[in-house]
Amino acid sequence: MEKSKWKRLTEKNEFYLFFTVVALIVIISVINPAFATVSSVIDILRAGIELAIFAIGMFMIIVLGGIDVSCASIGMFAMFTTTKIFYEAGYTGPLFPFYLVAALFGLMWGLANGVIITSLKIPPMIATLATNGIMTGLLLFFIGSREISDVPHAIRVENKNFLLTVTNEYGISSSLPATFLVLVGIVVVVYLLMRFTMLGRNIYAVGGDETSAARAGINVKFTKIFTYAFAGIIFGIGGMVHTIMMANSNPVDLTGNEMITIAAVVIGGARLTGGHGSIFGTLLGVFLVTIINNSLILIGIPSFWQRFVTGLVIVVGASISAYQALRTQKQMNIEIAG
Amino acid sequence: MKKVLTLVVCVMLVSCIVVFAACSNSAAPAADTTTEAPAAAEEPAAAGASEYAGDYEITTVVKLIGIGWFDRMEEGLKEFADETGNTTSMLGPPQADAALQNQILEDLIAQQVDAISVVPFSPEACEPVLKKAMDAGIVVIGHEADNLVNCDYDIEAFNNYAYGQDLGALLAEAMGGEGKYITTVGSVTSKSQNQWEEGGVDYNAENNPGMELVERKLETQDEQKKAQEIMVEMLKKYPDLKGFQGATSQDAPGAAQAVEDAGLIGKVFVVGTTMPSISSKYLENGSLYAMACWDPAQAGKAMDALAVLCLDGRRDEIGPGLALGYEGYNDIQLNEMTEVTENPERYLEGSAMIVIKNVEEMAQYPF
Repeated sequence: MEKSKWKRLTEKNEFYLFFTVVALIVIISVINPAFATVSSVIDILRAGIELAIFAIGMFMIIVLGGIDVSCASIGMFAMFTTTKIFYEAGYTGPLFPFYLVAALFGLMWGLANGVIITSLKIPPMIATLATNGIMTGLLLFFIGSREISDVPHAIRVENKNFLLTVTNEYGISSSLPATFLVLVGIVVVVYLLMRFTMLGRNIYAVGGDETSAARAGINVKFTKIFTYAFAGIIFGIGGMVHTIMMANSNPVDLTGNEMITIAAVVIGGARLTGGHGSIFGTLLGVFLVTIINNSLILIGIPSFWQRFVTGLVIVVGASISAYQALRTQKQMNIEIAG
Repeated sequence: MKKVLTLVVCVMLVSCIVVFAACSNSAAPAADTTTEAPAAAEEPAAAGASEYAGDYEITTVVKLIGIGWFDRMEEGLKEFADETGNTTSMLGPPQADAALQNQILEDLIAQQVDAISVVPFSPEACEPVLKKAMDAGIVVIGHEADNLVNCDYDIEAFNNYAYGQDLGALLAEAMGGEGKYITTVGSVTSKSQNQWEEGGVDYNAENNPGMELVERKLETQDEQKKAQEIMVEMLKKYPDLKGFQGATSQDAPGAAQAVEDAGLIGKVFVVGTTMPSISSKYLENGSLYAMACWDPAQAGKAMDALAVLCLDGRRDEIGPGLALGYEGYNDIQLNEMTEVTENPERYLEGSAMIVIKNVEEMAQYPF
């Protein structure tokens, strides 16, 4: 019993990833002890909030066996359009409507992605590449390309709303912003959805084998549209979180973030072929990427090498996941053969 | 069902294209709506009085439209048209893209405008088109492109290295001439930003031995978030850090936010190239010590003034010491930073650096 439990644990990708993260933290702390502090933890958590939100939306889509390269654009469209609407209207009320409107824009584009993919049977990569172009075009042409720095009052207030602040011995404060709660909320909702609802299990089933899922009576089309739409909402909220944390809405700000988002999810053990992945793994993947992005200067790696090192870590992280997948598959084959 | 769906999609696509075509048609003249001749005709006295009076059609092609920077340049171009009677306009792609910019340049050659002033996205990429323009007898004036070969003149707002030195002096003033500081650039391949950085670093190495450069040329990739994260990381590595010199318009505000959140206003000083529309709130709360920039409106006027001088056949007037009559461009010098060896007298620079240190000064520069 004990042995099989241990064996099950070592088969898990998260197990290895967890130790990779721990090893990384130890190495960085040895090189620069300034890293091993409470303020560091808070700084890393803060830097990772946005990526984590996007990665969770992407995690759902990758489990479904899809991909969404328009995630950053959805976030960008939602945050900028929302900020612009409230800015032009001279809105001075509370914050909640910002999240609501951004989520609605996210839902709109997520639905569009889902419907295009299922109805026109276009591969998700191509479909979302197309909507990505449409979205950025519409955004820059019709809505505006001029960044808004004079953001509405509610955003400014939320920008300075901190859950806790730690001041280190040098008098430098690190604060965890309230947007962290948005991430926690999303994690809880998606965890419950994926773990305990029929719909969540259906997402795994469709990602695992679409034909079998359909034969088992799962409404594949609905499951797909739902997943893209739901992830769209998450991307919309993620965009709004970006604007709140920067107190600035720049319609080109998130461009290119889709790649690091996908990388974080894949490092987290979700397979691009669908059907596999966990929220915990995804969060570990995000943690790994964020630590790397925020400590290379700390350990003295020069600017020229930073992109190289980031790329290297992604390759290593992703190969651990791929190797684990291969090992499990081999074992299964042996079991069948035996 | 499927047929119906396909039909619906097709209809949607077609209508989208129609809408877009309609929009871009109406948008093209909309972008052109700078002062036409009639407006100038109402004030013939003013037009006649200007040194640059004429009836030329001068079009400015910029990197990107719709951003505060080039909106401000367009204002300057309109003023130039009002003052001189020439027809000016500004065009540019809605996305920073060299190919789109080239398309616009091609169109202008076909339209046979008298002069093109250009702020290229990538000088190398538009050389062939600009050569074509010059072969067609169109006067070409460049800005922010001191290695542009196919142009009649290129005018820079200032000497990039000297601007960097002034930026460094500003940082030294804020830091009281001592303490650790860092510098950032958008990317280590961006030429002018690296010249600014080097100017500042060299200045302080020579004049302020108490100032210690601990990290340099950290890349922000033109993102405020990245600049903010870099500053947080640097404060951890160097708890006694005292200064920051940024290069892109996003560097200084990002660093300023980090300084504000760390509770270090008045202890850590941020200076950099940025502008009021992006960084006003940080100057107001003191996390940004000073911003430096140049006024795109004046730069636009200077470009068009040079174009008129060329078109009038008054090229002999252009040279060191020339006063164009616009703030920052009244003592034109040769730009010695250019890498072009062929006719280096074509490369000019002004002295148009603007430093904004307080809220009152900011009000004068609404861009």
